[in-house]
Amino acid sequence: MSSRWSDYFLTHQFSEFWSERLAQADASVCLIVAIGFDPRCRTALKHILAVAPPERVSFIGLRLRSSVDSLESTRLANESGDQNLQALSSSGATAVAIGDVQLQDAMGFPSGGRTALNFVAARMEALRKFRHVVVDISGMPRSIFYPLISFLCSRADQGLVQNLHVVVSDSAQLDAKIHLSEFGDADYMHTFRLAGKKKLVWLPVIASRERDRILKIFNQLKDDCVEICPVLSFPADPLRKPDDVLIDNNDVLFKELAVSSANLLLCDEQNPFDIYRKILGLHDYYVDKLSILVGEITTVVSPLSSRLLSLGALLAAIERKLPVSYVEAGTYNLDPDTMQLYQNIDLKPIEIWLTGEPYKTD
Amino acid sequence: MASLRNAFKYTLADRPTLDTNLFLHLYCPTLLHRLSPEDFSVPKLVVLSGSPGSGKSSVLRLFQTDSLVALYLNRRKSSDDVVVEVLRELGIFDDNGIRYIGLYIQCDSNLRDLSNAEAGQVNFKLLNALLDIKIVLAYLRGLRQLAAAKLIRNTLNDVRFVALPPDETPSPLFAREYSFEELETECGKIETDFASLLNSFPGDPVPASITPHARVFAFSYLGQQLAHQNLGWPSPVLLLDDFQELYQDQRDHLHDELKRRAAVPRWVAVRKYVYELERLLPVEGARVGDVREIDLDDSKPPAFRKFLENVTERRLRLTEALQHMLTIQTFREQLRPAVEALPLARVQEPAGKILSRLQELGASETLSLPQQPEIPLRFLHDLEKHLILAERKAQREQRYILPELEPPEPSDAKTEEAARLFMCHRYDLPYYFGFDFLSVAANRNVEQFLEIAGEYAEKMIFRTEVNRAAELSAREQDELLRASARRYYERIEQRFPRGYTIRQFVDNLVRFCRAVTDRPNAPIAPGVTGFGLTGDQLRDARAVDGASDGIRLFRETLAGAVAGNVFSIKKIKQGQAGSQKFVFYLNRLLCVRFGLPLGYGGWQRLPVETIVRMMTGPVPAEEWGKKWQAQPLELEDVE
Repeated sequence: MSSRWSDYFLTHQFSEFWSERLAQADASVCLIVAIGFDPRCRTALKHILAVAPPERVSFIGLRLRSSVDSLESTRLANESGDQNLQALSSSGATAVAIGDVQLQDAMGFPSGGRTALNFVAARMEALRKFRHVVVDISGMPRSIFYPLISFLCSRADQGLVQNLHVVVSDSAQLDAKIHLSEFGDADYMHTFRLAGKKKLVWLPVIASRERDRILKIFNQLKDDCVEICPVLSFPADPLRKPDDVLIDNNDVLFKELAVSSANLLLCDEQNPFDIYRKILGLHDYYVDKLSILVGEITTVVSPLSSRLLSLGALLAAIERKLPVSYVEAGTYNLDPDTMQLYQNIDLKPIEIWLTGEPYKTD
Repeated sequence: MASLRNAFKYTLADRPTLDTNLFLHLYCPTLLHRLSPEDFSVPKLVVLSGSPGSGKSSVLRLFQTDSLVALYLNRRKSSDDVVVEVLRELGIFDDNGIRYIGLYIQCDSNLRDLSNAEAGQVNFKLLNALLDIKIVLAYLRGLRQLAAAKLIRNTLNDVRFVALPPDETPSPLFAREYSFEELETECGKIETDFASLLNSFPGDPVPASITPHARVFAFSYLGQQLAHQNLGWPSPVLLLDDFQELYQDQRDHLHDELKRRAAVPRWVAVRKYVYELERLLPVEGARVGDVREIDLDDSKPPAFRKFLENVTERRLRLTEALQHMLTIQTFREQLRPAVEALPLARVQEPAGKILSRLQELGASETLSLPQQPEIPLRFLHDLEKHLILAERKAQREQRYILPELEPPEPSDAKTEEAARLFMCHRYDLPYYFGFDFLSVAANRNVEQFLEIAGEYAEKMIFRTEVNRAAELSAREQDELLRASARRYYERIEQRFPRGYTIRQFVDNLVRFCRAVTDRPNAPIAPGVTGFGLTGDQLRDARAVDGASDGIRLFRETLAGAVAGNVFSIKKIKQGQAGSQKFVFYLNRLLCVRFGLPLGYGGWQRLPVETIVRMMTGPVPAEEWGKKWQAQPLELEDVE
């Protein structure tokens, strides 16, 4: 079966790319940025502003808020968020809109995806005017960028978005400084729900120390789950990362869930289109081979690993309308030296062009 | 009979992944005895409430059509027909087949998110429409399964479903006549459209097939079909699970719908929450007899232990390497007691300190260590008890001029237990061993029991596989239980919403519990393992609207901790008439983690402000120690 991104555009030459794009007549760009504790939310805008006149650069800010701010960790995260907001506001780029996105509703259920989607959807008229729309997923929770990119892809298909891009400033070093906790229940992500009753092949994209989230999602799916194929990053940096992930999750994968080692799927950590292709291939294979035996079947993905792998899984989910089961973290705790590390680290954003000019066939 | 490597690793929620015969043998029917035939035959509202792991979902899932069909078809093959027997007594099975089938519907985010389907508007009409579809589809699918199993006549496609009368102003789906197949197709299509609606983007239109309506019509619709047709079909019973997952206003709305008199019994399973006041399913206003409440948590400790014994026996029989342990008694025997004596060299120094202290306190008897190679634990235990009593005597406020007039300090079972705990700490002896400790550590939660006992079984299986005796020494049991407790504690932060604050609170609380429990006079023997709040404190915290961050944190953390079983609640009446207190006891595994006794009893009342502080960060013991010491500790006698 053909796939939408069998030919794709991805470049590590971020500054060069945007320098060239924004030098074109009437070119303009609007970034959609989640403003939370993660300092990486500033990186892409900073790089673009370094190579383009500020009047061509705008942004929509989604200021992330958690439900209770009295905790020390939340207070510190909020302070970082305010600093990031301040930095973006004074960057010279035009703020199209900045709005609060409550990550949990009053009952404590996840609401970030829905709120962010409504906020951006209400600004579609403004977005239409830009030649390029960029979603910067660097500091954006998966529960927000999954529905958001899916929505913008659909609007791009309707001609309402001219060119849609995604940028990622990924850093395993920084990721290691951020600790997720207070997990809620497993649930399907907003706009990625399972439709009807089907048998399931589950593809958890896993990282180290994920026992609780793996079990929570498995408990949600197990009634209908017929196969589990964990996805590991390889090649990865360091190269022995998949071994470490397997050692960390050994008990849960091989003892508790009895996963067969033949089911492990290795995907390139640096190229989201690798995992994208493999998920599509696997999904098509299982639908072809198993639906005769067990009836309707679909693949469920769970992005518990890096952003690039999560992005690849998202593209597959958009294309084949796959459900996405996920466990949202309630809090993010940062190591004390995180900001210092961010200042010292040389982050290089990656540019991924999803819809628009390079994909036009005429 | 098929068997498993370690049957303790399976819970009843694993039903779909288990062979039916195995499932039958695992199922312990104790909870079924709480039901009566009228719960099926009389169309009323039945509310099953309990903490997580108390068995609510397992009870409901047993009545799903596929479970019942499997049970019915296997009823003669099985050597252990206890479950089938109970189902017969409840009238679910009779000589003609299955008389009732459950329509299992989980209240999940699909139902909850309908509230947000139209931005900014609370929409109960969509909820009604989806529930109608789910209820009718569940019944139609159940009938298909019965027909496929030849338990009803396979003439479904000849059946016509009559429309509801126009005076009921039914939704379009129920306003016209359908064949079975047409109805099935139509409902399936609408269900798919609901999924599309939930996956839709802002601005996308609502699919045309979805017609929101003001009431749930499915009960009267199904009731009408059964009344009009004499097809020998089983009656439906609605099984609504995880009711707490809906928004409050959805629950209030559904509560009204479920309370309405209908032809179908409606069962609702709901997780118990922190506030007795915030009853998730308020039944006030319902006619007596229309509502029955079953609290799955209210079994007495001996009854729960008996239940666990049954669970253990069933799992032993299904565990390949342990099948030779036919009864719970054999299993108990494998859990070996502690040694009865310790070498003199090991006890000399610590016991010497006790003797010196006793002399300081003016003990009248001349006590000394027996000069023999091994000192019996009984002696060491007596020594600890003497010390506790002497410390208590020394701390008495009232002094006697003539010491011989001083009444002796009374000792009781609790003091004996405190002495045992002290002894185990002092000589580094195992404290948590034996089946009784194992069952108490389960915290009245069968899932927790299986998780702990599964580790015991794992070790026994390993021993058996290498041809060694399966028995576990007291030290090994103690270590296994502590390892489970450590895992439980370490996972609190990740496992639960508000996990960070729950763990922070637990850390602060256990510091206090340890401080009081370890006092030399054991004031609240055998120890303190909980804290208390008054009904007024809870009411105030709940009533504050737009509450401060601190109060919201208090509410959410406490609710999360109780919902996750980190604390269990006991309501007691104490003091003035009508005044009720809520004691929050630590999960017994946390008591194991922090070396506390497992008995319920001692607790401390706490102001909400202190609790909020304890939730947000470490509170140094010396900061609240004096204040707490000044407050009277409260002791509750638990049966």
